[in-house]
Amino acid sequence: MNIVTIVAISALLLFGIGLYGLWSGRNVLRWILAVGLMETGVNVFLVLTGWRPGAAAPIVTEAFSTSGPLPFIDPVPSALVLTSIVIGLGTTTLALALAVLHGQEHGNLDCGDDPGTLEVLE
Amino acid sequence: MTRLLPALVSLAVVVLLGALLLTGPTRDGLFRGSSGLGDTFSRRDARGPAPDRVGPGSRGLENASANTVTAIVLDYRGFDTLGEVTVLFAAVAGAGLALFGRRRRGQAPPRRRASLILTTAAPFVVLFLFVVGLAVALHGHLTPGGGFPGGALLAAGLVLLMSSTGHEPSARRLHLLEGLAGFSFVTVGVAGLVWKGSFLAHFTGGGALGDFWSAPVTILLYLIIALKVSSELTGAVRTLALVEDPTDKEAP
Amino acid sequence: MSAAVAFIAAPLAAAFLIPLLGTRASWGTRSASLLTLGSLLALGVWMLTHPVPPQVVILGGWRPPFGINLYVDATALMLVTLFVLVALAALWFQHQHGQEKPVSFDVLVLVLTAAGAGAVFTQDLFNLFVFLEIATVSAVALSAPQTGSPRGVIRYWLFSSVSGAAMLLGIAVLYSGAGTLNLVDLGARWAHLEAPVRWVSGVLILLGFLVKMEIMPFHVWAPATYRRAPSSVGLLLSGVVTGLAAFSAWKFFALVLRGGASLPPVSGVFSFSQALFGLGALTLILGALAMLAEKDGKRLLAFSTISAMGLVLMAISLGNPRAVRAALFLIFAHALGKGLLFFVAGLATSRTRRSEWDAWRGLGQASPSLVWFWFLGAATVIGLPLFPGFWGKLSFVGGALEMGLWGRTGVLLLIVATVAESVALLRVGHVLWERPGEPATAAEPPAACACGGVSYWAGALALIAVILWMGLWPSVFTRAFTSTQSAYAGRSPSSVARISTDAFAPRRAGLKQDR
Repeated sequence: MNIVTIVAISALLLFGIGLYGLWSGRNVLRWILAVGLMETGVNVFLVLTGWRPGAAAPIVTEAFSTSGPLPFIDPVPSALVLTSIVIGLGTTTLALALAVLHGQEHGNLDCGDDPGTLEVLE
Repeated sequence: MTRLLPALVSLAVVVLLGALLLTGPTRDGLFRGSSGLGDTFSRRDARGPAPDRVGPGSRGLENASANTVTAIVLDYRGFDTLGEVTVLFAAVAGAGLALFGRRRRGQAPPRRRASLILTTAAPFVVLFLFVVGLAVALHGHLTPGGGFPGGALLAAGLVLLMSSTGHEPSARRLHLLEGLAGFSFVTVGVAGLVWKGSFLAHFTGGGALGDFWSAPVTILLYLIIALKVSSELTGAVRTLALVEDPTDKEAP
Repeated sequence: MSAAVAFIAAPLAAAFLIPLLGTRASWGTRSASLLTLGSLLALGVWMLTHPVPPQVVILGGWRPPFGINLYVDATALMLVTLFVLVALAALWFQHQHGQEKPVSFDVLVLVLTAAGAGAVFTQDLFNLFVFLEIATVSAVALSAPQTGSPRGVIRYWLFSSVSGAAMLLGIAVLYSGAGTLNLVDLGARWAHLEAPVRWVSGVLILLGFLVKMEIMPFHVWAPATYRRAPSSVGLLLSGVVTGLAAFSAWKFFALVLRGGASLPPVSGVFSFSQALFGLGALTLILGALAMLAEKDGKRLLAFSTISAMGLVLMAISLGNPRAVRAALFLIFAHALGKGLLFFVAGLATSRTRRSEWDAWRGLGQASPSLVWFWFLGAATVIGLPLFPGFWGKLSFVGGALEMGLWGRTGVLLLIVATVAESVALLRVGHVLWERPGEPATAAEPPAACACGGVSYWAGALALIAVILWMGLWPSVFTRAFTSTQSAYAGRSPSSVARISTDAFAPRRAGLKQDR
């Protein structure tokens, strides 16, 4: 049980807690938080795939020579996670606007079934 | 019972993923922390002569920004970043579209005056946020950070200014900043197409590694991103703050 | 062929600049967005009439595994031109007949078009994910209803965000296993990966595509969203969003999964592509049956989209050349036919203020063109001979019969589903044609004509022209689809794998040397 396994399990658990949050209620804010948790779990997992014991942040300094063993973590997941965090921010903004819309329309945030949605195969 | 089933299913998903990914050779294969792509990026020969960016026989990969993550975000995979900026833009525009035509507060919203602590501290904190935000954005090629966190810091300053003075930045100015910044990003891309024959190619050479002016296009792009992100986040807060609080009225 | 970048860069630049003209929609903002899409359409047609061999466009000046590259061939150009056409029709319809919308509506349509072009062209898995997210964000925002409950669109947001998170997890697993993000590169390393890595990443990434394609267990959001969204957005959702998701799914399937054959079978009986085939068959038949029971016009069209995407998924999972050609034909036929159907449904809804198709009784008496458009659209979707859907379904039958019992079952289901779909669509057409209410409750007699003039005919006639062209003269499309299929399968001189690797050489990629 080293550090990678522990962090990976935590990431997957975050994902699972988000999944549970989705299924255990119908409140829009709960859904937004749950999706946020899932995205965080995925982001942690993504960063973790670049981790290496004892490695430094991938910033080149004078001490570094290109021929020796690499002292850096894999920089690609760090770059990808930046993109995915911003995408998560965007979808959350949009979801908050939709939640406001729901609140104005129904007076609450309980996103039950639309009347008539359960008619056919839904 | 209604709570138990979701919990069991979620737990089952986690256990299944964990069992598949975190055991035996799969785990060692997944978390070895290096890849062909990442190692090549890390071995950029950034201290060579002026980079010959395109064509065969170029000595691997050269980008003069010392921060490899920044080099990936803005140079090797700069197209992703254009998409990322677009997601944020679309989300903020979409929030405006979704709330269009809904009832809003009147011209002079009933607003509590900001507290003494907020109004006294705000100028100092705002100044600090602006300075740090700009510094983070401009040093993205040397240190961790860059345009996105820098822009978020600038937006925090603007929102703090908004809530302490009660004065809202005009939507038109925010749109102007946002639109011009986005257009400049595309323009930088087209400049790469014109001068280097490839969309979003960096059109200037690099300087010495670790210098402030070592990667001019990276600095330019991160400045653009910081302005865009700050105006977008402020716009998003403004959009969501201006709509009527649904809990104010009684449920129909 | 660097001009292909224009399909992504130009709408984005326009989308960033148009809000500067003002937040409220005005004559200027409308014409600016229409002009952008119109000139892109012209560029697409020009590029299609001046064909060049398939090429790789390098972005950022870095060769493929390190940078991002686009693969541009005739099929991709046709598909992108189709997206631009559909977006133009939708925007035109919204300006002429829709409710008043702020300028961000036009902006988001432009962003969605750029995302469609990017998702079709790109050859990088993470970049594909980014473009799918752009498409989702703009589609969710566009389908937020102006009046009525937003519950459908909230579910749309929920399903697509969760599937996006799942897809990203799959990409993370795949990257850490294979160490690359380029689709061609991933395909070359796929067979050497550990079985659990292949399973987890394959399932999670395909999940992302399936939700965006509205495949059956993940379609729950679609009918309610289509019902509440403006009709022009229904056109975009079924024409652009599902189309780009289906094409990306096929790209992933063909380049990385190699037709699903390289995934280890579950307990020896049941392979990955068979599971997808089963899902597609379920979607096809249940969607078509749901159409029979549906009383609401827009939800009817939503189920029609769902059913059509089920057939596309079946064709993708069969994976042989004929089936792939069928999938591409069906994507085109579906977008074109559904465009016309939504055009009629939107006009009928805005005139009667009701979206139940029973309330549209007798509209065709006042404006017979509505009925003609409806029947043309229905014939395209159903696949009457000499209409685009026909060529798709014909070549699907050919492809399926090569595949034994599974394929024969699929053909049988296709026949049943087609009958159900025809009954449902033609019934609505009949109602449109009928005289207004001898016994019925026609609340208000329809006015003289739904609309008239150039603005009414232009959008519909553009779609009809393409439908007729594709139906009567499919050989151009067949040639393009066949060469694309063999290029993705690696069996032609212009195979995707080969020219992506060769793209490093400057003479091929057309890169200028440093001045």
